[in-house]
Amino acid sequence: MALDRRGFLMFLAGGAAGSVLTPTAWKLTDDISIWTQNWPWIPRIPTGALDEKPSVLKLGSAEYGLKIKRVNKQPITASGNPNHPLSLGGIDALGAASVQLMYSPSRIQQPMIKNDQGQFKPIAWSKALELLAGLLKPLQGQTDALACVSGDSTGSSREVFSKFLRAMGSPHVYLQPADGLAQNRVWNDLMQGQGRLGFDLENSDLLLVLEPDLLDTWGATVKNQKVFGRGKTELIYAGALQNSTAAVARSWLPIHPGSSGHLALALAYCLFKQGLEPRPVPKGFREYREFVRTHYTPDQAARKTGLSAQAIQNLAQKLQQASRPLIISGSTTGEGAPGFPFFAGLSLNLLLKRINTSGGITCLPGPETVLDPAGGPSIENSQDFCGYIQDCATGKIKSPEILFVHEANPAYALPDTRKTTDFFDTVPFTVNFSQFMDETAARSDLLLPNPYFLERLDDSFTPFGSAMNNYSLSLPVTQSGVDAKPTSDLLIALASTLDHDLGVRSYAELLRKKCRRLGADWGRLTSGETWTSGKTLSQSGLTLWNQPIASMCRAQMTGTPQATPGLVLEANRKTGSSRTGLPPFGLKAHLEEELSGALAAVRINRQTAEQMNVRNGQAVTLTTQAGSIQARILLDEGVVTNTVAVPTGFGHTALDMFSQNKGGNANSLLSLSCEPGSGLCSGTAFEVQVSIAS
Amino acid sequence: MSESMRIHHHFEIRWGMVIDIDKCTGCGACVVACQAENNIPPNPDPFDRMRDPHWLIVYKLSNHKKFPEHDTAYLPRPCMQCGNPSCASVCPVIATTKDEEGGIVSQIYPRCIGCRYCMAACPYHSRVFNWFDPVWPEGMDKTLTPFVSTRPRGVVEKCTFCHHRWQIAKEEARKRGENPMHLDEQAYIPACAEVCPTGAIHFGDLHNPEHIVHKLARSPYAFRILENLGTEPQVYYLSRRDWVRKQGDNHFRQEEKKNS
Repeated sequence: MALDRRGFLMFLAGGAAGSVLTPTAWKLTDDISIWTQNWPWIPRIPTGALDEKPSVLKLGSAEYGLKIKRVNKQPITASGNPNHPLSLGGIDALGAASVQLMYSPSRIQQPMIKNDQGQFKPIAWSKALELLAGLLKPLQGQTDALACVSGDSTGSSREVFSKFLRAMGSPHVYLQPADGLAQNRVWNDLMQGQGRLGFDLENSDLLLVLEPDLLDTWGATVKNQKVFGRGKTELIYAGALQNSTAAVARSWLPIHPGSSGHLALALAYCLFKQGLEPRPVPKGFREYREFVRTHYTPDQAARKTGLSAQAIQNLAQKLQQASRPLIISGSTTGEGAPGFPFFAGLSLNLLLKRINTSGGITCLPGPETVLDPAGGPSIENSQDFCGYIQDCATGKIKSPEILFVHEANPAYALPDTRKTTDFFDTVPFTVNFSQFMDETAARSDLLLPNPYFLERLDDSFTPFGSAMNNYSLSLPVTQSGVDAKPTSDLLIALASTLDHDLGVRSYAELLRKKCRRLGADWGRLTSGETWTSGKTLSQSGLTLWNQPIASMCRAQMTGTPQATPGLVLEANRKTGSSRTGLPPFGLKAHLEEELSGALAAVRINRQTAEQMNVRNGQAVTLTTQAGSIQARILLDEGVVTNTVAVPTGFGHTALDMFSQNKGGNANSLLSLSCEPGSGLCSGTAFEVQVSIAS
Repeated sequence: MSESMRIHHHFEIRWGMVIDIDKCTGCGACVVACQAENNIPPNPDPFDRMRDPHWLIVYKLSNHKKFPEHDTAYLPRPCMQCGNPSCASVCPVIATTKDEEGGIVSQIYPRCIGCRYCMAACPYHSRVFNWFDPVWPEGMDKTLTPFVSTRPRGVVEKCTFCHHRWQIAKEEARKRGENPMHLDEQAYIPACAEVCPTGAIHFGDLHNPEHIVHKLARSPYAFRILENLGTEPQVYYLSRRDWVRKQGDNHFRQEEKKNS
C-alpha cells in the first residue's frame, strides 16, 4: 500500500487528534507526576483518632499550661492552654517546639556510665543504683561531700533533693541562678520582706521595665505577652538595646548597659523632690533618702545612665501621674544579676506605695512543703550555685566528692565558663539526671536520665513573675520512648537503700500530699485545672537601708565611666533554654541575619563601628577578662553607642546538630563576681575588646 | 496591570488575616506552630532562606534612623492569598489555583512539576521550593500531623491558612446542623493565629461584619504589602507608626514620582 501525501497528512491529523482525545497520555503523565513524588523514603503521615491532653511546660524557662494534640495517643503538636492562668491560650517558641524536642537526637536513651577511656557505656538501672549507693554510703554525715544543683525552681523534686541531702548530712542544695532567685533574696534577706514576690502586671496602668526583656525572658513571659496584648497598660522600656519588649513599647529609653539601678534611684530622687514620702515609713528611709539625694541628682544620674536629666525628670513625672505604676527590674537574660538593680527597682515600688496593691507587687506565701513541714534550710533562700563554685574555688568550702545535677546545664549556662569547667574537673564523680546530652552531661560520670516532662508526672508551684500563687500538675501525655526513670522516685528508692526514710514511698504520693495541704482537688488537677490563691502576706519591718544594703549601694559608686565598649546580653526563647539547646523546631523562627555560617551576629550601631574601625558583616573576636568568642558584626541602630549586644543561647559544644557549631557561648565572656552586701554572685562584663578576626 | 489580567474572584467568604505589627514581639511562636502543624521538616541550617522550606517568616523592620531615633518592628509574613494571585496565572499545570470558596490560593503538590514560575511571579517570596527530600531526625517523624501530606524534593509549597482546619470546622458545623458557610469567628483559626501570645494575628472572614477582621481591615492604620501591584492580598497589617505603613509599599524612586 502506497502512502501518498494526502494519506500521510491524514495519518498525522488522526494521530494528533487521537493523542489529544485518548486519556492514556494524560493518565500516564498524571501517574508519573504522582509516583515520582511517592517514594518510600518520604515519611507518611499518620491516621487515627485525635485528642488533646493538658500538661505544663517544664523546660527551664517560663512554665505555663499546654494543650498537647495527639493522634492515636502519640503527641504531635503543642498549643497554649486557655484555662491555665499563665498561658491563657498563648505559647512561646520553646513551648510550641516542645513536642518535637522530645525526639531530639541528643536524648539520652538509657542509663550510662563513663569508662576509663572517657566514653559512655550503657549500664543497667539496678547496677547504676547499686554503684551509686556504694559511693554514697561512706559519705554519710560528711557536710561537704555531697552537693546538688537543680534547674527546677517550681517542682516538688527540689523537696526530695533537699530532704535527701539533709539525710546525707549535706546542706549544699542549690538552684541554677535566675532573676526570681536573686529578686527574692534581695527582698527577704536585705529588705526584710516576707514571702515571695509576684507582679500584678494585669492591673497596672504603667509598666516601667528597667532592662529585662519582659515579653520574652522575664518571669511569666506568656502571661506578660497576653497582658500587653490587651493594650490596657502603657509600656516604657529602658535598656541598652531594642529587644522584643522595646520593639513594641510606647517608648524606648536608651541607657548604658547595667545602669538601670542608677536610673531607678535617680527617679527616686525626683520623686523626693516632688515631696513623695512612703507610708508607713520603712526602716532606714532617712539614710536611703540621704544616699539618693547625695548621689543621684539628675545631672549625676545622666552621667551614670546616659539618659538626659530632662528625660529622667519627665519619666519621674509620668510615674507620679500614673494611678497604678509598676517597676520591673532584672537582668536582660532572666538568668540572674547583682542585687543592686533589684533593690533599686523594689525600693522605687515601695516609695510609690505599690506593695500588695492592685497592679503592684504582691507578696505571696511560700510553697507548702510536705517532706519537711517544720521548715529547715530553704532551697530558695540558700546561696546560689555561682557562689558555691566561687567558695569552692577559693577553698572556703571543700569541693564535693559527688555532685548531683538535676534539670540544669551549669557547664554551659553559668558565667565564666572556664571557672565553671575547672570546678567540674575537681569533682571526682558527677551524677546527671538530664534528658539531653548537654555540656554538663558530657562532663558527668553517671547519666541517669529523667523522663521528658511530657512523659512523667511532675508539678509546678507559682513560677516567678506570677501575681498570685498557683499550682498545677505537669501530666504525662505519652509513654517514654527511652529507658528513663523519674529522678524523684529514684532518689526515694536510693534513700531507702541507704536506710533513710524521706517520708513518702513515691513522688506521686508526695504530690497528692501537697495537693491536700494546699486544699486543692486532685481530680481537678489531673484534669488539667489549676489551683490558685489570692492570699498575700502583709508586710511589717520593711527596710530600705541597713549595713548590707549600704555596702551594696556604695560599691556601685566606685565604678568608672565606660572607657571601652560595654557588653549587653540578649536572650530569647527561640534559642530554647540552657538545658534544651536550640530546639530543632525553633531554628526557623530566627531572623536570617542572626547567624551566618558558624558565626552569630553581635549588634553594634554605626558610630560604635566607626570607633572600632569594623564594618557590617565582618568576622570579629570579642575578648573580655574571662574569655573570648568569634562573631560577626551586624550594624543595628537599636543598640546604644559604645555597646556590643551579644546573643545568648548559641555556642553549644554538646547536644545535637541543631545546636552545635552555631555562634559562641556569651556566658564565657562573663566574669564571676560576688556583690558586697547582698552576697549574690553573678556574671559581669562591662568591658569588651573587639578585634578583627584573623 | 490591564483589566484583562484581573481575575479577582468574588467569593461569598474571603478568609483574611490582619496582623497588628505594633503587638508583634517577633517571638517566633507562630513560625514554630506553623512548622509543626504543616509537617515542615526541621533543618539544622535554616538560615539560608533560599534553600530552607518555610511557610511563615518574620522580618525585622527598621525606620533606618540613627541611634537614638531608631525604631524597630517585626512583620510576620504568611502567604498573602492574593485576590489576583500572580502565581496562579503562570502555573503551567494548574497546580496552584484560586477557585475555591474562601479565596485561599491552593497548592496541589502531586500536580506540581517544580518549574518554579510561581516563585518567580510571587512578589512576596511566599513560596518555597523543596531542593531536598524532607528529613526528620529518627523518631521525630512520630510527631507528623495527619493534616498535611509531606512534600518530596522538586515541589513548591506555601502557606494555606491551615486550610485543613477549615475543612474540619466545616465538618464540625455540619455535624452540629449549622451552616458551614457561616462559621463562628473562633471555629476556624490557623495555627499561627491560635498560638500568638499577644493576639497580634487576627483571622476571619473579611466579608463577615461579625468577624473582627472585617472591622480591622478598614482601620485607617491598616495597609497591605505592595498594594500598588494590584494583587489584592487577603493579609492586612496594622500599625500606628507612619514609617511602618510607608514601608508597606516599597517602590522604586521613579515609581513614587509616577504615582504621586
